[in-house]
Amino acid sequence: MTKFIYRLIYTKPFALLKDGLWKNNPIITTVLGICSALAVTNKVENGIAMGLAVTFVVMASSAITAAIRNLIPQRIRMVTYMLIISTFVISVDLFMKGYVPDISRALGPYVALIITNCIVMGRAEAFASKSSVKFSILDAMSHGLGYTFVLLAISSIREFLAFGTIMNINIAGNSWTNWVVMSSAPGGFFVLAPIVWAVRSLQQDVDVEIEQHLPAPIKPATTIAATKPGASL
Amino acid sequence: MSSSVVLEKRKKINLKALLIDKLKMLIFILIMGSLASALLTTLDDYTKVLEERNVELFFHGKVLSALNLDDGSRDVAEAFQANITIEQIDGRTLYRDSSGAIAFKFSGGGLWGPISGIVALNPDLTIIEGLAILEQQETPGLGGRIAEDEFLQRFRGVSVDPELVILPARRSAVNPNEVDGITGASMTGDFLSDMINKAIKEVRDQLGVS
Amino acid sequence: MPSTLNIFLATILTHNIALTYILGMCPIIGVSKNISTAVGMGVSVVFVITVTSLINWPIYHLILVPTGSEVLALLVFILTIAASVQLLEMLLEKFLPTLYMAFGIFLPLITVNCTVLAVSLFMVLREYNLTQTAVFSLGSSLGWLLAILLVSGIREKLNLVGDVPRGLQGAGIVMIILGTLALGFMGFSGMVDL
Repeated sequence: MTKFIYRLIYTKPFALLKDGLWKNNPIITTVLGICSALAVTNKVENGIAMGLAVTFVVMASSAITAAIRNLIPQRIRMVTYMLIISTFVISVDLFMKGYVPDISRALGPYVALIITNCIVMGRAEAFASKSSVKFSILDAMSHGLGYTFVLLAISSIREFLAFGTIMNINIAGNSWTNWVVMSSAPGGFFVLAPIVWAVRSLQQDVDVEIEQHLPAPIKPATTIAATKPGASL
Repeated sequence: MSSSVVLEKRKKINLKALLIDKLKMLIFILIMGSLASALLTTLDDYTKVLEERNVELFFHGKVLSALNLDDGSRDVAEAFQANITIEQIDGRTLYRDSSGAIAFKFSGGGLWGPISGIVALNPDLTIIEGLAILEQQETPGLGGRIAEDEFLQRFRGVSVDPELVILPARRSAVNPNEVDGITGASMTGDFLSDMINKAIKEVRDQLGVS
Repeated sequence: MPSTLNIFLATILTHNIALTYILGMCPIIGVSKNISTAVGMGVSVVFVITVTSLINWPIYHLILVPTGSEVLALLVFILTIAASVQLLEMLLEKFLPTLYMAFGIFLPLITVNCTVLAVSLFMVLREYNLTQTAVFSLGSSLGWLLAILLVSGIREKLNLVGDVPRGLQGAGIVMIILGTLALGFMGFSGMVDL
């Protein structure tokens, strides 16, 4: 049995899942896509909806990108990714407006802004553009779910503190005083910061900065090196 | 001499290859673009009907709840069809129920963004029958509570003669035209009462009631 | 409809795109280590947002609306943004090399800055005309510049004091700074009406 578990741990699918859910968690480690993670997480239902929407978009666009990866001309690959991503995002937006109008109303323009959520673009560029469809979908799923779990954590804390409820079910009792600040923008920052702190301390992996994870600009490598903060301008 | 000719030739081939390369890119992006647009336009046609229906249902539901006809047991579309008659006056839509009560839309600027809602009045436009909020972006937990049922219930039976007043939270209502405000949201309250009074005044003028 | 001055002030103070709508966080966290890079990024963003929204407005109102294809708006917007950023980069490199040396390196990163798309999107949602769009886009981007400038300034000062716990360094501390700033900016609420 232990042998079996060991063998499982060293398979590629397991490594991919671990990468997205824990080691390179999009929000905590690589700090990508946090705009939506903070803006729509004052209710658990919104957090879940946003997380699933992003998971779907990243899986679908990674799959398509991987499928046509040998056809995409190198120089215009960014534009191609954007075309694919925005097609899926607009589809999700239309779908939500048609079938779940309440959630669509709550998320507002942030659904459309998934297009510029760097997680989606980052996965297309970093993984799907050089991997098979099967592994790309798995990788996208693990990053999407990693994102969803963090959103779930932030939104549960925020909804509980701000309204005394979770999923609109009152659990704090009537004597609970609502922490109003938790439901507005600053609350999101104050909840996410300790989560990032805790997880990064556990990971012992602190100095991950964002530029390395942004999709590489369409420029020669020498100029990219100069974008590192600290390079004198 | 011969080497320069070779160079010239190579340049030409490169130029040709470059052109083909550019053309390939263009064709690729055009194909992708038209595929994407075709897909989205089809999807849009399909969901547009649903979306418009949802928007209408939401609005009609709010009209019903302002007129206190929203008992939750009936289908919104059915209840709206059965109870409400629509009148158009000077670009404003009035929703009248069987008892003669009139509901109409009001809107204005709030603290963070636009607020809009529906207010229902009795036939001679002096008493509020009910209130519903369509859209608001006030601070959740403070001004955002204007959309909660508990707050909206306070408006039932309140007089709007001469006009509606939403009090700051530290005072409580004495006169028939006063409503208790929300703690920490006196500005939202002011904005709300202003826009309701303005809409009522306009409707009174339009209907010739004074 | 709010006046242009109202829109301008509101987009910087009460409806700051970074601190109220929480948009464009990736670059604020990524490139706010020192003031000079922050200014470079901020100024490039101001330029790109203003230019792209002024290109997107006519495209939306003169091409997409008459042909009834509003559904493609986002797709067209993001392609316009990507294309104009690339064009801008080439023009700068060719005609203003000094400016390119200073700001050119930030341009490719801006395509994935959600503020740019958001401004084009809000301009449609709020039904602004061309003048209002110009003021709105300039104001929003200046507001974003203000936010990244404040964060980088605080970060530089914080480095002098030192002693940020290891796990909190980088993203964590920036989030706390941003949260505090957002809390401060809530104090502006109600000053100007949008």
